[in-house]
Amino acid sequence: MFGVRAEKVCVAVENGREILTEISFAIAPGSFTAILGENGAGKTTLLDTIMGFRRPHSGRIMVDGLAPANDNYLQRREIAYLSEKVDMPADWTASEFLAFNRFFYPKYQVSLEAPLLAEWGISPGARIVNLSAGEIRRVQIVAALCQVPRLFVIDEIAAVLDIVGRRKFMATLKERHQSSGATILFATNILEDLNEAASHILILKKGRLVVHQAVSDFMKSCATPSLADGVAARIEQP
Amino acid sequence: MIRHFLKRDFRDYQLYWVLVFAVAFVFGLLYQATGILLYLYLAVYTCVFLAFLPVNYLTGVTWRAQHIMSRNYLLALPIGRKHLFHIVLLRILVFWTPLWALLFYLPVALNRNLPYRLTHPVAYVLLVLIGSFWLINAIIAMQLRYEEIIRYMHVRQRIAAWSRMLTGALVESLLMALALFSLYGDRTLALLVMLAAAIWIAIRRYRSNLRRWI
Repeated sequence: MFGVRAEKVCVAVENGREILTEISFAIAPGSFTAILGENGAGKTTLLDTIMGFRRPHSGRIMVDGLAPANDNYLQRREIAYLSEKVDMPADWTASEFLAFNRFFYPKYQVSLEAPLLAEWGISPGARIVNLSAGEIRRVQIVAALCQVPRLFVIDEIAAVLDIVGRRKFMATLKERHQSSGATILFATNILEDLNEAASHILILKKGRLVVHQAVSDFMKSCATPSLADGVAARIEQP
Repeated sequence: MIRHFLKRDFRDYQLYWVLVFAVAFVFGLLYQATGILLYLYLAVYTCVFLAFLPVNYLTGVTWRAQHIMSRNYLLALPIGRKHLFHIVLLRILVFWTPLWALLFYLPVALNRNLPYRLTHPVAYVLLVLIGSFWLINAIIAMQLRYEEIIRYMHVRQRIAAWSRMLTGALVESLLMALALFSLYGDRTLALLVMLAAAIWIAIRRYRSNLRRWI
């Protein structure tokens, strides 16, 4: 399974502002890591760098031993990317999107499509234009699950899902994580669903890494009743 | 790979193609019947408009649009980034074929109706192709630059970036226009120089886009 390693990664934008500053961590293969932090902490930038959408201006990031900045495109067959920023043409139907998408992934399991669409309450003939933002994410989730990836990179997708969808998504991810051992990187601002799913947390604050540890260790160290309280307390610490 | 994209494009833009052929047919008939050049120009303008229409859809957008293919989706696909850029370029070029057909026919019609003569028809065809390639790349470059400008820059940086971008586009357009005008002269050397300049500009834009694609 895919591990992710960052060594003193800095990412800056054109006006010189550093979004990520000297981030170093090693995410073990097969772990479920929640990436947390206040708005603007650099969660999306970190995931974009892991996906190779951005190049670090110093340091390096490695996914399963390869640098995404070098465009190892065959590796992306094993990566499912789920993001609130992924949209699709309005005139396509859900099944047309899945048909377009499956072409790129050799391990794609077509037989999973119909049951997953039914499970997620999406009609195969539904046009994207008629779907809500949450329903579009559901189509994406079906596509990602059929892809049978070794690494899930998930950026804030849970925010637009309704409460039932979010719980179902977390349960599915947990099940996939346990059954296939896929590595999961999950950036979110909604912590209530993470209980029992995430094995590790990675907290960013103003572009710097402040916590990267097992959830159980974090809970012991922060002495708060819930994970959300502990994370909030850690973020608010000066 | 490219077939997969083109097949999808053809299905998505059926109305576009019907419209292109309907416009070309109607204006072509009117031109043949009346001999009035205006109909031919109208057909060219319509095809120019239709050629520009799908560019932003095909490159994908980086912001939340909900109903347009996102760039992040394209970049996350297991396709080499340079290969992906060439696929996008080729998909755009397909939409320029009706315009090329009309532009290649245009000098024939003009020769029939106007006192000017194209002295170098082969150079004209070459320039139309180079000019189109440059124009498509210039539009993509503007889109990529626009995305950077609106997201990451302070006001002063934005103004400077806009000014640089527009000045660059203006200079390049001017050179392209000069290259086209040199087709009507009888100085072969000047034409060759302008042709070389046009090729250089087009390649420069293309290579810059290839670098900045992610």
